Formats: sequence, C-alpha cells, structure tokens
Amino acid sequence: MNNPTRRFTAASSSLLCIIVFFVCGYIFFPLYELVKESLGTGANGYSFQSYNHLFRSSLLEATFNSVAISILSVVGSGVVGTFIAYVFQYVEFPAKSVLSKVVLIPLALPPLVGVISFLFLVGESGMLSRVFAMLSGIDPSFFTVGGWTGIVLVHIYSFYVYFYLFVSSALSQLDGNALDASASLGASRARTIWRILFPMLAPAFVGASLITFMSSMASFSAPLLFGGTTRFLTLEIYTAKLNGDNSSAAALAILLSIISVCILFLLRWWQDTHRHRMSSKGTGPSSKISHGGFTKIVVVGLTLALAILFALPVATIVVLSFIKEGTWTYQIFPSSFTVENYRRLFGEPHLLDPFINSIRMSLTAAVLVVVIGVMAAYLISRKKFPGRRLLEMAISLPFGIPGTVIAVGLILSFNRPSLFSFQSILVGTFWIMPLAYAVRNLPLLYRSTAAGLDAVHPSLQEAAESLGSPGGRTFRKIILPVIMPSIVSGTLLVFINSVGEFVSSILLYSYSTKPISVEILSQLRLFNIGGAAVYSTLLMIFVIAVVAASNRFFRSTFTA
Amino acid sequence: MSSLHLHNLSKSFGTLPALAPIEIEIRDGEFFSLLGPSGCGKTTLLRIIAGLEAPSSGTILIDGVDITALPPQKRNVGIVFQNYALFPHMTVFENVAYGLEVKKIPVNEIRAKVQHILDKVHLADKADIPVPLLSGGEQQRVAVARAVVVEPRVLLFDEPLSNLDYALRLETRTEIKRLQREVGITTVYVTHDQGEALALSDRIGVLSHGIVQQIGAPDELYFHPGNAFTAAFIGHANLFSREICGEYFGITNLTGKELLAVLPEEIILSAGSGKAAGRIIDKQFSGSSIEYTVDFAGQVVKAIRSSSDSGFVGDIGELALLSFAGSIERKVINE
Repeated sequence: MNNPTRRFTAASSSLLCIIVFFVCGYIFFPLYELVKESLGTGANGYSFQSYNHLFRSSLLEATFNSVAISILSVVGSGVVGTFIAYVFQYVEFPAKSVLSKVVLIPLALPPLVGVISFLFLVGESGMLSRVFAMLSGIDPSFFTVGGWTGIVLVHIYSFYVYFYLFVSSALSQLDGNALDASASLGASRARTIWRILFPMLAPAFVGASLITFMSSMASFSAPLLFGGTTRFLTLEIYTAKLNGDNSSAAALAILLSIISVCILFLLRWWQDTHRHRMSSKGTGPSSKISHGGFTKIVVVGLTLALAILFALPVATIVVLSFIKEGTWTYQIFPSSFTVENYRRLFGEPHLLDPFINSIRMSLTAAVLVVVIGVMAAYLISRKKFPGRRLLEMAISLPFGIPGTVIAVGLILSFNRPSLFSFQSILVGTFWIMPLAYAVRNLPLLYRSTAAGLDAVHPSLQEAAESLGSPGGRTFRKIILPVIMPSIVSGTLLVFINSVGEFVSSILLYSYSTKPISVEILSQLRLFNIGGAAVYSTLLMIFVIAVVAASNRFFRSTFTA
Repeated sequence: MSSLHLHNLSKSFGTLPALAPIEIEIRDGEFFSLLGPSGCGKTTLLRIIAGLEAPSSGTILIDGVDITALPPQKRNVGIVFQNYALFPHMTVFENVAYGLEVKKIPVNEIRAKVQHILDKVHLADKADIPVPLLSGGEQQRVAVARAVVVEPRVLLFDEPLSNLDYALRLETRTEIKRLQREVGITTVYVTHDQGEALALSDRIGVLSHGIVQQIGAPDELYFHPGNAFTAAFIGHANLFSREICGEYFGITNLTGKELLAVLPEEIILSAGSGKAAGRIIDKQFSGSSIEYTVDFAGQVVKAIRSSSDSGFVGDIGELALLSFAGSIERKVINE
C-alpha cells in the first residue's frame, strides 16, 4: 500500500534516529554487556564457565523456586482479583462505591512498603499474629507467616489488582446480551458463567496473568524480607553482585531474563492469535446476574473482609509512623505515640533528601520516557518503514526483563565511558537511576500511547489533511490532544512506579543519590521502625495525591 | 467551482487490480455519484481523488491542471467521511473553523464564515457544544459544514448517510442536495444505495469490479441501461433470454448475446393459467405498492403493481399469468 499519509518524511527519519539510539544504547548495549560479562573475558577468551556454576543444585533450586512462586502468585491473584471484579460488576450492595476505591489501595502502595507492612502485621512479631494468639491461646508462631506463604500473600496483595482491573474492564465492555441469550436458551447461572462468561474473559485473564507472572519473577523486596534462607533468582543476582562476582551475576541475570522473555512472548503470541472481537451494534449494558439471598450475604461478607484486609497494611504503616522510638517491644500494640518522627523529618531538612532525590530522578525518567515513548508509538503505528515490527519488539523487551537485570546491565555498561554515555562514567552519578527507571517503564508508556493512537480512526488525520493541515500541525492540534489522556495516564504510572522504585535502585544508588525506598530499608535495618514508617507514609500520601490530582485533571478536561 | 477530469486512472494493490483504467469527466457544479456494490472500488477512487491514496497510473485534473502528485493538503478537495471523522476534542465551531485557521484567515472573517455555514446547516445554536454531545444527524451536518466552509474546488462524500436511520437518511439527503445546489459546488458522491444515487445525482457512474459499467443521467440509466449489470443493479430489471422471449412472449428479435430487460413495474400479472404462467412464491405489501416474486420458467421474476390498482389479487402458492405492459424494446448485452 502506498498510502501517502504513511509516507516517511525527513522529520520522521530524524525522530527514528533518536529512538534507535535510545534502544541500542540503553536496551541492547546493556544486554550485550551482560552476555559478554557472563561469558567471561579471561585470558583464554570466552567460556561458559560461569554457566557451569549455574547448574549447581542451588541454582536449579533458585530457578525452580522463582517459577513456582510466580505460578502460585498468578493463581492466588487470579482467584482474588476475579472474585472481586465479579462482585463489583454484578452484585448490588450498600457502600459499594467506597469499597470499590478501598480495593484499589494496593496500587498506591510501592511494593517495598507493602512488604514492610506485611512484616509488621503477620511477621514474627506481627500485630495480627499476636492478636490471634491472644484470642486463641495458641503460640504466636502458629500464626506467623513467613517464607513461601508470606511471599505469596504479599504478591497476591500487590498483584491481585491487575486481575481486578483487567477483568473489570472486560466485564464492563462485555456484551450483556450474550449472557441473556445463554440464560434464555435455558443454561443455568453456573453454566453461563463457566461456558460463556469465562471464555469471553480469557484475554483479560491472559493479560493479567502475564503481568502478574513477570512481576512475581522480578519480585525482589518480598523474597528479601520474607524469604529467609530460601533461594530465589533475583536474590541470587543481588548477592552475587554484592560479593563482586560480576560474571555470576550476569549469567544469572541472563537466565532470569530468558525465562521471563520466553513467557512474555509466549503469552503475547497467544494474545495475537486469539484476538476475536465481534462488532455488534447496540451493545446492551451487561445485565445483572441474579443471586439468591444467602449467596449474596456470603459474597458481600467475603468482599467486605477482603477490603478490610486491603486497608489494614496502610493503617499499620500510618500507625507505626507515630510510635515512639524503642517503646514497642513485647506488647501487642504499640502504646505510646508521638509526632516526634514527623517533627524531626521536617526539622532537619537533609532528612528529606531521599524524598527529593526520588522525585527529581522520577521526573527526569518520566520526561525521558514520554519523549521516546510518544515518538516511537506515533512512528510505529502511523508510518511505514523497514524494521517496524523489530523496533516494536525492542521497545517492549524491557517489560520482560526484571529490574535487577536492568540494573546489573547498566552497571556493566556504564562503569566506563562509552558512546552512549557521551564518553562519561554514569555509575555513581545522578543519571544512572533515571535511566534505569526510564528503560523499565518505556514499554508501559509506549503501550498506553499506542493504545490511544489505535483508538483514533485514521480518517481523523485524513480529514485534517484534506482541510490543508500540514503533518506537524495535524499531529499537534488533532492527534496529540486526542491521545493526551493516554499519554498523561501513562506518564503518571511511570512517575509513580519510579518514585517508589526499589529493585534496581538498591543496586545503583550512591550516597548522594539515595532514593526514598533505599532509605526506608536502611531505617528498617537500624530497627528504626518509626523512621521507616514515616518515609513510607510520606511516599503513600504523595502517590495518592498525584493520582487524585490527575483524576481531577481528567474530570475537568474530558467530561465532554 | 471546478471541473474534475479523471484520466486513465487505475489502481492495483500489489498484483490485485482494484480499478481498471477509468475515464470520467465531471462538469463544473455537477453532482456526480459513484454507484456500485461494496468492493467495487468506488471508495478507493474517492480516496485517490482526495490524495489519500496514490493511483497506480493515470492523472487527475482539476480545471485542466494536473494535481496527481499533490499531497492532500495542497489539493483543496473537501471530504465528508462515512464516520464523519470529527475532531472529538473540539466544539462544533472549532471543528468547522479548523480548515480556515490552517489557511491563516483573519479571526473575524473565520467567525463570519463559520456562522454563515452553521446557519445553512441549521446548527447556529450549537456552535459551542463539544461534538461528542451531538446526535448522529447533527454530527453529519458538522462534517458537511467543515468540508464546505473552506470552499473546496471539489467536494467528496463517502457514503455519508449509511450511519443514519431511514427517516433521517431521507431528510439529510434532501439537505445535502439543497446545500449543494445553493453553494454550486462540484460534488462526487459515493454510495451503494441506488435509490440515493437516483434521487441526488445529475449523473451517475455505475462501477462494478473496478470497471465503469455506464455513465449517465438517472433516468437514462434506469430506462436505458447499457448492460445487464446496470439493468439489474439500477432498475432491478428482470432479464429474459432469447429462448424465453420467443417461447413465452412471442418476441423474436433478440440475438443470442442479448437479454430483454423488463422492469418489475412493466410486468403484469393476471389470474388464470396458460403457457406464460408462474407460481407466486412471495408477496410483500409495502404501502404504495405490492411486490410479487414469481417462479417462472426456472427463474425468479419480480413484479410490482400499485396497491391502488385493484385488479389482480393473487396469493402465495397460486398461479399467475405473466404479460408485459406495452411493447418492451430494452435489450441489453449479457457480459
């Protein structure tokens, strides 16, 4: 097709050059350095020696554990998320709108903060464990959750939201008439759910499973704080790197990436081959599936219990931020409270530095991602050029690569001058972390922008052109405003992800660029619980404020 | 106002031919329809005129000037899309003003022009409303106003009424015709609805499989179709072979390649049996007329009679005798 609107102009070429530079320099080059490092550069040239180490039983164990915990997390999150999505879509009960916000809380909680709050709730001296012990008279250790159970619980808490959001949106777009048709053909409610509803939701399940699996494989804070002596791939990489064993760290990173990327492309392939969308006119609103009184009470009760559980970790963190240093030891609940922790934070400005560092680095990352991501999405979806599919895959690649791996790759690439660091050393500087955040989040922004562009009918651009509007003006005045909501919401997600980012930060930070997540962990390591909780609370408030502000922005701009 | 000349225009997608070399001259101020079934290439031809698609060969001339190589921005050809393609983040006014702003026309002049055209399409009171809040018919009129306000040399319509319901479709097509006549703009109108084309057009080009079957005024195409396709597509004519004409109707002046095209309203049914009898297999009452479907000599024949004509009252399953109203001389080539 030689559609003139897709013709490649000089302007497009220069945009493409910038994108290719970014992809080569900050995605491919670090991966190349990883592979090189893993093969070793000893006197006898390349070898697979570090891979031989890998096949020690301990590493097989770590691999098995990582995969197993991810599968458990997917199943658990799937059950919880789907259940809640179903209840909110089809069952009417009081206070539904408030609860529907409560169940989104885990989204606002940076993973590290979630893990810490679980530690204080159900860890060795957790409040919830002690309460149960007191009520039942059984030893608290019976109620203590650790190791596998702890990690899976934390994962479900953090990742169930993916299932909830995917399934909810699928349910709300679903053609309710199909369910009514099934019922009118005499199918029971269970049969309708099993044979009609679930198959129609399959794409949502696969999409959410994909994200949950990748996130669980890449999960670092939960194994770090709950794992004990159990081996996981992310932990092994971290340990190897701390021990200065770069080649083992690199080999492990490659192993973890290969598993993740394989799963990524497997599920993507499934999504591409199962894209069946029926175009139907006059899609009716999905009907309510009627439930008996008893079922309804059980279902609503369960949802309420879950909502309380979801709110509990946040409450815990906030409460802990007020405890007096060293007063909470053997009691079930802390007894003496003080605002000292907050006063100290705002009294000594340098204590706010980690927070400011995180915001500065996240803003830098967000700007970088928006520029590259929007340009890439526009070129890939609207222009024709050789290597288009390849570029798209390259941009999506970091989605499959755990943060630990990206961090190790960046360290190996930029601990010496190179073309892509403009001949300077980036490790130890301000720039290395924004770069890591940007690389990790590029697929996210790319996807949300591309989805926005997909929703813009090509005739919109053609209409502008036939009115005499040149390419640049059409993009600025027509395309950009229409896809702005997708860009803004994508950017916010990038920013929020980066502000609480921990996994790659812990490997990349230096004293002067310590981000808030690393500071929280340091406070915890010093048993400075109040301090850790104050930082965590601040982080949560900040995230919630950003989300709330953006909601307001959307409502006022796009109510039309 | 301009004339449009499509000279030797062809298009193929890869090795797949979409348009055979096409030769059409559209006169200044004319309302010209491209009519054909879906997939006949009419929309492709329209997109080529707008510059949204490049032809494989041939030239497009407006007032004798070759514009084939010009990008859509430089052609000054307006287009009304099937889905309207309104800019969803703008109001009615902003949508209509967009093309004028691009041309850097002074603000007060823009305001006057937009106001004037909105008056014409009866949307003056909706100027400041965001377009997503308009009804389908109103959106359609915004799309027309936006295309017309920049005074394009040629205005293109791509099945503009297909998203409207029946009553609104009739109303809107009257509006389009009125506006076109008032502005006097050269118009190319793509449709698959032969009733729409007949009602609106000065002339119609009938397209099938990328080939222009016939160009002519509506009544010319209806009463004097050039070939079997046009006869069947425009007038829903019944086509009878030389053998059937000779055996049943005593008409013997057809050659082997010719068919006799008889319009449904030219077929008269009467009670009784005889050689030229067929069985009624369907009967549809549609208010002003009644349409019969008759199984006759191994083919399906359509006959329409006015419902005020109280002659024949055959029912489904009964036999009816076929004859022609007057002498039919409409012979078409079977291709």
